[in-house]
Amino acid sequence: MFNPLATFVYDHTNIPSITFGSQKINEPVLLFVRRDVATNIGWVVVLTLLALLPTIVKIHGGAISIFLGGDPLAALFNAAELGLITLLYYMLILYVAFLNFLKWYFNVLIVTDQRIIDINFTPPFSWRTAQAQLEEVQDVQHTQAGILGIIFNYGDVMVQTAGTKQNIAISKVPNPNRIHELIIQNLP
Amino acid sequence: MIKEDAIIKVINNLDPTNIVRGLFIIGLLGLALFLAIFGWVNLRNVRLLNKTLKTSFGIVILIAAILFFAGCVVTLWQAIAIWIKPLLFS
Repeated sequence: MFNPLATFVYDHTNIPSITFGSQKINEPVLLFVRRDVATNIGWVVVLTLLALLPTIVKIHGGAISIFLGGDPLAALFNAAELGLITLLYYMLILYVAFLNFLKWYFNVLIVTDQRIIDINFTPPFSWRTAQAQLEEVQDVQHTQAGILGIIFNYGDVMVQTAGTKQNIAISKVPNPNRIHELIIQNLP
Repeated sequence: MIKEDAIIKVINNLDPTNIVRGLFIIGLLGLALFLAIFGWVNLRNVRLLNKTLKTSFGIVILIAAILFFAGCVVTLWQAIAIWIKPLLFS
């Protein structure tokens, strides 16, 4: 069964479940990649710590009160207001988490038998799609750098196109070497 | 006399605790409004992006975006009920 959160799909049994808006009839998807899961570790850790912060403050409330000379928020707001402030705090964390997830989920590179499509979402307002026909591809490069890139085997892939067309690039994708090979294999 | 009373009342309300509380409330109301607006923007984005990239998980993300927007609206409503309504009807 196809994992909808997969980062690297190129097997023909799973590919048919992935389609995109401008897909033509008889245009099979050959390769589908998005940023490596490991690239999400940073924001997940930070937001988890922030989500745990009120609980930590509650547990160590006594020590914090002594340090601050009293509970400043409890002095300013009543119980209902404090409840609402907590709700707002968690909604903000949820919002940032949701945006980061969308940024990861909707930044993909799709290779079909005719073209390469790059869908790029920069939250909250900007998203663009770029495409290049396979005949226009002049060069494919991949870079793997940094300790995390080596440990988790991710890197950047850049597809250089002919003429004045913008190059297509996707960063921190898993198996950049394999992606490079697969794109080259499908070039006419 | 009435004027002096009014001035004394204003000066009493200028207590630093009240000012800090007022600023906090303005900030929190702004945050609630920000979340409601951006929750709606998020929902629009998800709808458009689901048309661009069609996967089986798209509907789950759309439901999550709807629930998040609903949560934002409820939070904004609560903030208005707690902080704005008493000002209007007191």
